Amino acid sequence: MRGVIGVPHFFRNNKQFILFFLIAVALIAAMAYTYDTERYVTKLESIVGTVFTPIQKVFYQMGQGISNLFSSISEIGTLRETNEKLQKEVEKLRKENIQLQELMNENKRLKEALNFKTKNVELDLKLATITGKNPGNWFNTFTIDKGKNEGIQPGMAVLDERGNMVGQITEVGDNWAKVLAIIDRDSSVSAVDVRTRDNGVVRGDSNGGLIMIYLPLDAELIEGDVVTTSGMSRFPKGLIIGKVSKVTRDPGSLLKQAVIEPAADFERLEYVFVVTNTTNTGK
Amino acid sequence: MRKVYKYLLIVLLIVLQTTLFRFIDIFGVKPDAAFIVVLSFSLLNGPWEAIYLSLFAGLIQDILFNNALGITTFSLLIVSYITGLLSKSVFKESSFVAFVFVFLGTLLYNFVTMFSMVLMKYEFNFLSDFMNVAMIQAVYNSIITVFAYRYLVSFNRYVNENKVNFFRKSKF
Repeated sequence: MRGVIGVPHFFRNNKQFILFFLIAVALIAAMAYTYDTERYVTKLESIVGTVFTPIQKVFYQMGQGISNLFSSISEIGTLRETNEKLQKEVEKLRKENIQLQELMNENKRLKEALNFKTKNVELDLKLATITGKNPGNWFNTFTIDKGKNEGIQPGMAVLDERGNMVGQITEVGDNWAKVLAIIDRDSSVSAVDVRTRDNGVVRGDSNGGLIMIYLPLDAELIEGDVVTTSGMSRFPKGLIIGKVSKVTRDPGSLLKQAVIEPAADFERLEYVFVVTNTTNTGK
Repeated sequence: MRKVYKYLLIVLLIVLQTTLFRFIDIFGVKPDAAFIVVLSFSLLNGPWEAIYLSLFAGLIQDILFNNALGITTFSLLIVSYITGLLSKSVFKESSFVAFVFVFLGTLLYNFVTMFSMVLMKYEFNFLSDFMNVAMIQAVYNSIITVFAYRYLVSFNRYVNENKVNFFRKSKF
């Protein structure tokens, strides 16, 4: 009998614990409902973001300014060297450019001769400023200052200033959005080796690196190859992801893996481009 | 009305944490200032405060940055509620007590987060990631606590007692 009387007694004296318990259950439910989804956030969440975005933007850019100042001070000594290197690079690129012009002309003539339709689409880019990065150590997400009002949709690709793949939009508020970086554990992008056309999936390891998995055993990719998004991904194809730095094969496994060094510098990101044209298939 | 200052402090720390703390990471691990403050106030003021503050701080971070809404709040709520319950039987205003609570609290906080991530089908090497992230963060957070806790105690006293002037009493 004591147990029967004891239960309501417990509930009367432990309102606090019951509240704690109910909140915890509600949070677990919220997690289960929202994880791994792409969505427009609710009105309330959107308002929170709208309040925080301008404040964070000021602080983020202040930090960027200070960091740029320090890095430019430390770079003064190496300026001459860098300049010479760049001059040589320009020479080399000029030569390559002329060769490419000729190849382009030849390509065009041949295409016309074959009546071949070109599939490459122009990218529509929208500039956005980063306003803050995830405060925790487990996730690699950040927020930008463009949202639904500017035509941003969940699932769009995000590039850095040089056009390298940085991540994808996951949740969108009225004038802000969350971006999942490709180096996050949760991110996976269908990718292809530019030289050998080997297909795989690039995933993040959350330590700032990338791994390309599901590569067939006869894949011929080697160190230094460039990896881009493949036509099978829902992102436009040909966005540069990074360079292969190591190819491994698990003993006993029928697949190869490659460690990819991301092309984008995630530490110094300040502005990003959102690719507003997406395809509707693939992941 | 002075209670508002607590919430403003948390907002300020979250903003700093998401914008400037990336410059002060050690081995890629950032300290968690909002966590330290919420845990300290839970230790000083008990479990009710733990619930309010962890909901406030956690939900802001989740709404702004996390795809799984509630993952920060859940871990923060559990750790600070336990701290609030245990606070009745310790000498609260000692920096050493706060040091121990923050050290163990950070470990538990990361453990709960990792556990939630496993349920969400994240793949990782549990032990090595725990050592590489949680351990470093625990040391980092608790060292910050040793220096910051006495200011938090006087700030807390200022917020709770209306007569005391915080700025005159502390050593700023």
